[in-house]
Amino acid sequence: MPNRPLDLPDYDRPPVNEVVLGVQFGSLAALKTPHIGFLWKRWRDRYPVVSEQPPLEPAFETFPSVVGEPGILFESLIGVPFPRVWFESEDGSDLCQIQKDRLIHNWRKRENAYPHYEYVRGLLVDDLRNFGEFAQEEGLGELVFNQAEVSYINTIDLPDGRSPHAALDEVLSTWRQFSLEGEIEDTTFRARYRFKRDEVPYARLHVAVTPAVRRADGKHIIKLEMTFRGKPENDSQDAALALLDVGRGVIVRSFDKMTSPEMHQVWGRKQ
Amino acid sequence: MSSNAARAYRADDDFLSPATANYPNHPRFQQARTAVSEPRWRSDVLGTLESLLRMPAGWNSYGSKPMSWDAAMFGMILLNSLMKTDTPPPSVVPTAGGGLQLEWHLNKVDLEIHVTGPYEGDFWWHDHLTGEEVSGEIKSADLQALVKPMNRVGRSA
Repeated sequence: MPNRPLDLPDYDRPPVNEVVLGVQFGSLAALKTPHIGFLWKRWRDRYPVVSEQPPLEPAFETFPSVVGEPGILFESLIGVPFPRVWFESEDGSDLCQIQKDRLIHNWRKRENAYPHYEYVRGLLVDDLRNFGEFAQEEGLGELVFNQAEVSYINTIDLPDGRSPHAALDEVLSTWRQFSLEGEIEDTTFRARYRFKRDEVPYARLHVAVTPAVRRADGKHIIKLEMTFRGKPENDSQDAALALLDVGRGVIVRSFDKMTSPEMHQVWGRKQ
Repeated sequence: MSSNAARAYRADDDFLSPATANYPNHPRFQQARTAVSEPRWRSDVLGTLESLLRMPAGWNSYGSKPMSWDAAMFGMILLNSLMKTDTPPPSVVPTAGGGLQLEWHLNKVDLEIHVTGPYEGDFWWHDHLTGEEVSGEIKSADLQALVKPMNRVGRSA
């Protein structure tokens, strides 16, 4: 497992609500629903809760691509869709999602503090090793990786309990230059940044800021979602994991740049 | 871009977004919304692919492979990235190796895009008006080389 890069900003109490590490691979045509039962038999101790969800659409970064273009419900429209299966830990904080062409590990905030990226990455690697072995034993084929992505979903509220919807400038340092006449009510914005390897675009960072209401306590919050997705350098697992590492660095540095020094204090910025 | 996929894979449903609270995040709702807003070429191409994906190995009597799911799927991704709403749909032709070829022969342009898998394939195009002829490989996420011929097939010279 790689150590945390020393130059990466770190916080005692980061506002992370969910971290998602996912890889996409060539579709395992031979994977059928009954296989999932055999897989759960292996995983039941680790993931005692299982459920089915609609499959995710294929997600590929291409250049160019049209902003806002709906994805393609390929799996849903052609043939019989294979479900996405959720395997959850007892407390729900760890979730492994599997479908024919994806494996995703989510860490979700429950009562526990954020255990940091290296921990979640370790669990993804465990899931991949177990699933890869299972696929081999069952003759389902090799995992040939074609895309990897890392997402951080942050939920931000103000320390004094005020709604942050009208105070985005207090949360995001990048927002301060947009103070206009009148009283701001709320704000939503999205941005995409492209990344190149040897002058060839290969990945994107998607940033979205939206006002939201937390169901649990009805409190106004700001959701800051950052996703880095791209094509690994080759089709190996190592390359897919390397892309996740790059994406994590990009997201953490971008988060630090976007957010205000005052909020950094609230979150206990360490370096 | 597939930000919708990014939203969907998140596991929590702990938040309401006031700006979008009237749009339930239900897959069937999304599917219906996509169905009414999607361009015509998508349903045409998907219909063809659905038939082609059912063809068995040896469909051409010369030991051909069945069409690969990943090639068909990436063909759609590629079109989704490059097609404009008024671009004519391509002819979709299976290839013996399990890939597919997307072809346009109109507006005095021939354009053929051969897709063998995610980020894999090659292309060729010939503009009969200018004499320009270009061929190349698809081996990365960069599809810029296809923008010019795609624009050309979409309009009369």
